[in-house]
Amino acid sequence: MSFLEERKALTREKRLSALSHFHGTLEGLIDETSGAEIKQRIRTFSQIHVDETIYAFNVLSKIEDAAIIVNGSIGCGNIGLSEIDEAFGWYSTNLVERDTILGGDDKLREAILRAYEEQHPKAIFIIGTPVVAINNDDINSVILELEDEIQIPIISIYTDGFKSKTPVTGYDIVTHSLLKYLVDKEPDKTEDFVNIISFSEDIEDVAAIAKSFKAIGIDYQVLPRFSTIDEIKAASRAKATVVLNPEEGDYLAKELEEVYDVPYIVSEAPIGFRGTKAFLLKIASYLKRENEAIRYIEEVEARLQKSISLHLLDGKNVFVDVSLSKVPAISRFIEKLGGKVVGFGAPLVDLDNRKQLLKLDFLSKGTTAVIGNGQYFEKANALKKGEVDIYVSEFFGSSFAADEGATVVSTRNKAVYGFDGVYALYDSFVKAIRLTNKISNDDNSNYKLSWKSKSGNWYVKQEVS
Amino acid sequence: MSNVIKNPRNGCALHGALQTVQEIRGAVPVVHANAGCGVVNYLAQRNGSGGGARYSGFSIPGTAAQERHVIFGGASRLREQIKNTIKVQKGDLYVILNSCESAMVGDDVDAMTREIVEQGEPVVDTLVAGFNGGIHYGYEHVLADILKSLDGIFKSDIEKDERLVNVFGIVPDKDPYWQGNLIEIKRILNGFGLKANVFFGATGSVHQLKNAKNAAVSIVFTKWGELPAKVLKEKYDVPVIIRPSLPADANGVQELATALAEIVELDASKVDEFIADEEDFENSILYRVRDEIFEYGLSKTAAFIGEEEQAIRIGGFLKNRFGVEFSAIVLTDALKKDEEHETDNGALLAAISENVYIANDQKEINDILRGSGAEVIFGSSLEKDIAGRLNVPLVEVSYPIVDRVILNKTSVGTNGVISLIEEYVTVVKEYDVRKKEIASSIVRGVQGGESWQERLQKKSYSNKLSSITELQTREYISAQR
Repeated sequence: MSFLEERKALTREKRLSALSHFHGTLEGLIDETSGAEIKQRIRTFSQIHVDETIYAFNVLSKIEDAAIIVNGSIGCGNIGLSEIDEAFGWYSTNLVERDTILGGDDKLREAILRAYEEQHPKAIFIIGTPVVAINNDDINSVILELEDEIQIPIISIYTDGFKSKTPVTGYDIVTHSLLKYLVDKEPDKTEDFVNIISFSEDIEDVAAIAKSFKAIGIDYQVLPRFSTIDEIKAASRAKATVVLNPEEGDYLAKELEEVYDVPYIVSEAPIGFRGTKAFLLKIASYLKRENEAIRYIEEVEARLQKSISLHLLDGKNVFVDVSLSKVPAISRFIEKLGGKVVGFGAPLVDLDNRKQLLKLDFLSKGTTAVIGNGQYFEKANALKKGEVDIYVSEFFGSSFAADEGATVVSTRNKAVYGFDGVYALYDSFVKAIRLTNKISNDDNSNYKLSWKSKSGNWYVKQEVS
Repeated sequence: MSNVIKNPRNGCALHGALQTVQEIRGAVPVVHANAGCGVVNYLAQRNGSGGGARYSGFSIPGTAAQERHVIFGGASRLREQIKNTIKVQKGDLYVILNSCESAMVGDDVDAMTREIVEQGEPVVDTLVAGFNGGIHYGYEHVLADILKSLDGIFKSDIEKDERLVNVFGIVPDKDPYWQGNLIEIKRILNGFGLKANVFFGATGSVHQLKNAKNAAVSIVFTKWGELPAKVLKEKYDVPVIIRPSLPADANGVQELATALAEIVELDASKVDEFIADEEDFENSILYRVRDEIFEYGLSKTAAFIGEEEQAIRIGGFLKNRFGVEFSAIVLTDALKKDEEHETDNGALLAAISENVYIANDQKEINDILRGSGAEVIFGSSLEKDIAGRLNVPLVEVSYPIVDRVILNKTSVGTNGVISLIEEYVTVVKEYDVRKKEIASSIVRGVQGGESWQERLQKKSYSNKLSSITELQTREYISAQR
């Protein structure tokens, strides 16, 4: 059943029973998440982490011809500084105490009109923040009133920062709004291109995949990040949809299939040689371009084999901290290079992405599993206990691991997707090993030794409501 | 009344308090807000130039308040969080920062704090709701609240130190050069035979905060810092000197010495010798670019975008020493109505430029710049776009500066003024290279596909050259790069 009937997207917890708090073993996690519903947990000590308003902003700010209004206090609007580039502009409604009492709709109206006049966007997005959600400001009547006047879609993104523990809910909320208000409802024909769905990927990652698509001769458009409003509208006319990170893009792809009959070519994330090969072959065979794909893959394979030593990680204990969809591919790669994955971290497990856990059958059952956004204190605990040599992370602030005795492989600022990514990832390991014991300093650790000798799940508790 | 802001460069009070606390070594911020409030500050800062503090980003403890805490109150969640923070994270002082949410819900945080302090734990709290004020408000209030509470926690006797000077007014991470500036101030005060009591960065910690009550004087550079300095005045009778800005150059160092001498005893001959050395050093280094001053016409018409303190310091120096004329000064930190501070620098600013504006809306700033006729902009990375459109060089001096790292480089005192001039001359020279490229392409007739002979026939070549600085087509310039 399509979720589009709902006024706004359900949180990931409600829709897919998402779990953001767990610390234990792989076996325990599989056990915990195998039922029809996943039991919620909480942390009685936590560290700050990304929320859905930030994720929503990250996606929307990369839509070329849209204007963005952050409806909240001045600090919420500060998020724009994380995405400064010369051409990018955003607005803050700059709500002050008076507005929290009397409502901020006048400012919202002003912001919409300014955004329209100054930027001539094709759509305006309004990102919700805690203050507005607590106040329950009436955003819809402002939208109704102004949409008539300016004749472009004004779309409210119902984020609030406290109803979900999973930041990916921000992607879901954006998806829901795009489908409901932008995507062409009655596509007259199918056109000869494929939707590539990207939410969190770096532009270099997207480029790595785009390069392969070009080589095989598949036309594509990327959305919703790095897109335009017209491209989003055209999503319903695509021949098929592929998703770079299933746990982020599944929702959009599935709804496109269900509501607009655009087939979703389900595949794992195109990471590592095997992952990328499977990803490309799947879409190519659907489009009947298998021969081109095989030729291309063989050519790349011959090139890649030369530069990789299969003993690079011999004897190394590795902890992988990435989105769950990427854990199997990256872990496989590490084990192929001779390393041992002793633990992994991921932001969430839900009823959909839990299948990734079963793909980890090549790891021992006792492998440490930490589910949580950030929560570096628990990872510090796991790194120390697991005598981890290498910490692999796709998140900001990964250097904390150096103080727990590990060297760090950060996948930031490089393409790890596609065939390009295979070498980039390998190269990151080479560079990280050179830094072994050079950056680390036990005294720098932010965490008390007494904590690191406690059980890692000390602060993870059953939720009582 | 505050309005909608395009491209806001100032975060909220919570952010100000957070970046203040995280730069005090030994202090651990505990954010009582929803999960992302502190992260927004982190993401904005990490794109800037200052690098990361020890307790920054995802290492910061926080309650990550959920819907139920908004509905039923978050005090019990906070109690649990503080208790556990002390068990997990190393620290000498834990500072609870309360957000919009906690203010709107009305959590009784004071009671929580009292309870834990009674158990002998070093915890203070402060209310810095984002809708109550900006970064500077957060800086002042968190410091004031910490200084008010410290005695109740650490209980030490007063041991006055007649050489000790508290330094207030430099907001960590908000001034892109904050770390280097504190180091330079420390060096200057040492030169006077005094000891700087600096709270932040590599040379500051909770110890310095505890020691603040023993100082002979608190010096507040810029008005942001009045509040905590007044707390020390009221509680411990530490006199306060308010200076409109940090010292810009050797002259500024001299003025600072004069101001200090009114309250603390200085060894006049030692101070004079120090200042003479500073002047000599500054003059002999700046001598090296005398040719450039004339050859690149550095006495340009300029616009300044930044904080009041920087406008007074950098603007004043450039006007007095380099003959720069400021056709516009935009203050990005000033409040339209300021009831909290006694300092009014209006006259000082008016002496630097006839056109002083208060704005932090990018559209407003861009409009001012368009009308200013400036040949060079001193501003932040947010002015890159308009500088490109107006085809004028941009010297990045104010927050935010992105795409570069600034660790201990300073923009104050003799060392600071030298690096400022380095930057100014470098930017102008780079711009000159581009200008020459354009000129050369005109000579070669690339523009519009015409050869220069053809164009000579149409209108005089020299005519075309004189319009080079006014070339509007930005694309054309980027094509040249």
